[in-house]
Amino acid sequence: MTRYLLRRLLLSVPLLFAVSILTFLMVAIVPGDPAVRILGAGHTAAEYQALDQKLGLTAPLLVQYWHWVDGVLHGTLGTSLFTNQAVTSALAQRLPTTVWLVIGATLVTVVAGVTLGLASAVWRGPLGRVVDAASWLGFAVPNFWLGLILVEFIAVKAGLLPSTGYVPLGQDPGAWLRSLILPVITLAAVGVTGIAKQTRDAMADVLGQEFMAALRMAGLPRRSLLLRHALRNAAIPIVTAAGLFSVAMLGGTILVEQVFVLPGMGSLVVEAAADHDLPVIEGAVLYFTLIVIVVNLLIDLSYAWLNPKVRVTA
Amino acid sequence: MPSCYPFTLSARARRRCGRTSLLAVAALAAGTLAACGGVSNGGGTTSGTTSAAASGAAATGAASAAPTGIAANTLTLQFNEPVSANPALEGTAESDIAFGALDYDSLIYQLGNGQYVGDLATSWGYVAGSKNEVFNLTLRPNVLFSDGSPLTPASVVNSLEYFKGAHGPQAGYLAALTSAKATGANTVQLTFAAPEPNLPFLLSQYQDIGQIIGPQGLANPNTLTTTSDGTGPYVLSAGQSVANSQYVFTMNPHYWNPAALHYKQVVVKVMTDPQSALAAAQSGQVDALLSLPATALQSAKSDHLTTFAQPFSIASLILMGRSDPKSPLSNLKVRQAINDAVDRAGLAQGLGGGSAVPTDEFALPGATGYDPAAASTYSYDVTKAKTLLAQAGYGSGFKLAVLDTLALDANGDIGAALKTELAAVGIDVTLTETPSPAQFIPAALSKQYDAVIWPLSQNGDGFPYAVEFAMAPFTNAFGTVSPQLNALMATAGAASGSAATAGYAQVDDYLIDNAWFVPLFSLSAALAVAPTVTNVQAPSLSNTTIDPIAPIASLSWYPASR
Repeated sequence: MTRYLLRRLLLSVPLLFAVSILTFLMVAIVPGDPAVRILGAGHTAAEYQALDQKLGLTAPLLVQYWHWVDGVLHGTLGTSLFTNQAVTSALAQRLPTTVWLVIGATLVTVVAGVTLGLASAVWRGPLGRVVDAASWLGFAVPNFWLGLILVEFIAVKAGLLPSTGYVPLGQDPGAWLRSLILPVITLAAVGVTGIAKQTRDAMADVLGQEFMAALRMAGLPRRSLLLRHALRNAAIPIVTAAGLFSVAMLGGTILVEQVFVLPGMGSLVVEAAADHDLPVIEGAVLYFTLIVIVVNLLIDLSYAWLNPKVRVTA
Repeated sequence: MPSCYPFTLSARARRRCGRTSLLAVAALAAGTLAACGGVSNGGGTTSGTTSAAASGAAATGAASAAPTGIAANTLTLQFNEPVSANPALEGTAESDIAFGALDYDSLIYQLGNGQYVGDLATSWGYVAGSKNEVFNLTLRPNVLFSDGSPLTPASVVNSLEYFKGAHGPQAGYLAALTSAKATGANTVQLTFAAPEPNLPFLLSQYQDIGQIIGPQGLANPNTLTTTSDGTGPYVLSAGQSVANSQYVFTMNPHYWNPAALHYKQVVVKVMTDPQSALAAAQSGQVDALLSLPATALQSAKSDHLTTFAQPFSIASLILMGRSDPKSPLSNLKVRQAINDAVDRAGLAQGLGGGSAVPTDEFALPGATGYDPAAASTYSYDVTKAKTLLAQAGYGSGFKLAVLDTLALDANGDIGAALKTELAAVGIDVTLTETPSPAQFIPAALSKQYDAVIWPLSQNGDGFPYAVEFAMAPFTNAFGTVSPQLNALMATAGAASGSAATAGYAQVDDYLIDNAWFVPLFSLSAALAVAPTVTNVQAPSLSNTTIDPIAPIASLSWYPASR
């Protein structure tokens, strides 16, 4: 298992390189010039050239990329071209918001989705149809629209939760939780309905298999049948779907952070892309890629935990 | 005379205004008398080109109840993403309310009624006979920067020279500055190569060049993007701020007039989406929305917020390609055709939020430079526009690259409307939208756009400033230079009284006749204030003269619960 993990980690290194090279190339071909933006109006050509050189933007792309990689290998991601803030510091300010948002949304997705899917698979009939309808509705409703509705009715009209903003966990745990509830619900909505449908289908499949009939005839309690045997056997596609939703949620944070005015990675990337702030974009993409790698690794580990055959082949 | 503005205030605010007007009148009259013709701001009386009583009536409270010193912990404001925290790289009047005025004092302070009182300078004025080219300032004594060093004539000179060399959006106003020198222990003299009649305005809190940066900041300007070094009431806290998300300003321990401060800290939250901002104000998370599109005012009123909206600038299509020989806009008839092709009244009605006035002039009715005789030079006449285009050789139309910014044109509505109207005369507009001025300015400078949608500033007596602003590089990317315009500006600038008024009207006529711009309708600087704060004074000049934090205790906002 350890060898398997090490192999997965080593495989992620070329992935990181590939993503960083692609990001570099994409930023290079998008029109925009940070030096002009920094100098403002009325600069001279000499001042422009001097700044361009100072920022290292006159060097060939490959050399610029090597400088960035060299920085990463020495533990620095450079400095924002516009705020002069160290990129690691800017990311450190933004990362917790996005990570908590995604963790919270993933937990809600899994717990609520699996519960609904289980209920639907066990009781079938009208409840199954409701889960089906909700799934389609969940996919159809844009999360920013849902966010606006939640803000209007729960934050503004009822005054139950804050409409915008993020409070760090260390500052006030209660306020932190309250600041995350609406964004997490907004982000999780699509996932909940998706996981519910995935759970219902997978459970229906497992419940119809012969070994389940045998276990039932053996007199196992219904709870044990469902949770220990059926759900465990149905879990792999559910976990796969949960992992995919978690990764997709990283993209969803961009809109959710906008609606709830959260200082997260999503909004940072949008601002940096608009500013052509290459060090910040590269740093943020690196972090996002690392998060995706970690999520995929966790999914693989959960496969091994759920299915002994995977452990053997690994 | 203080006044309430019933057409802009909610019913609740109007009732309150009615109740408090008498108190406010009494308080302001007393204050005026006590100040012997100037406003007391803790450090003696002020003089200068004008001395003044405090501005309009308190719209959301009575000035007489203003506390002295700290009354609450935090004032939370909403604004857009700043261009830069460094005042030399900033450049918009609206932004100065939310950012610059908190951590940097200006040399001169402009009241809501347009009059000037002292801030870092206690007196000022043009040297007699200098044709508005030589300007003297006397500095307030015993003022310290947040880095602890004293304000001196040398620090003012160094700051102005830094602004001039930093090439920020407002550096152009110092282009003609030939010398800035200390003339005494607390006096500074500025000399310009050409008349600069608008210096009190340019050195006020709504512009950047009068915001004096301290020696530590000047020694390492990179630090000014994450923290501040001014003499202002607050200091930008790098540790508590998150760039482009939330800016936290903590008290400046060296501030010269602590009695004027009513909040321990000010937090500026960056919220660009009006719906999110309104929701935040309704749910009590934000005390005031300082950047709100006029179209959101009705929602704000419905949400029981007190709103302020007054014409501040003129939504315009600026035809930069006038100096680009490759652009159809270099042809006067094409520019005139575009002016005739737009339905200003319809645009004002549809996009102006109920308070817009259509105009084809460079100034609004009643303002300096406005020429009643030139009104309606261009009327909405599609047939005439097509005829002019045909005469110019563009009867089959042409493509026009236009740049817009969503921060000043909510949802890109003006851009979309112009695209439709110009399509009717055969002009195919390719519209590019940038999210904020930060992206707009370099794009406009790139010379890839024939025209830009940008407001022509029209701040009270700021007509000359508005003309200079319109000729700034990012609204004049191809570098139009007109000796005739410069001569008209110089003549008006060196004059005073009715001669100056007539001179600026001639400038207005010149700009209309040459159709460099397509003025559309007045834009309101819209603000909304939650019931959590009071003493928000309705200005008679422009909403950019609303300061949450002022160097005068009776003008600063304070908590309503106090």
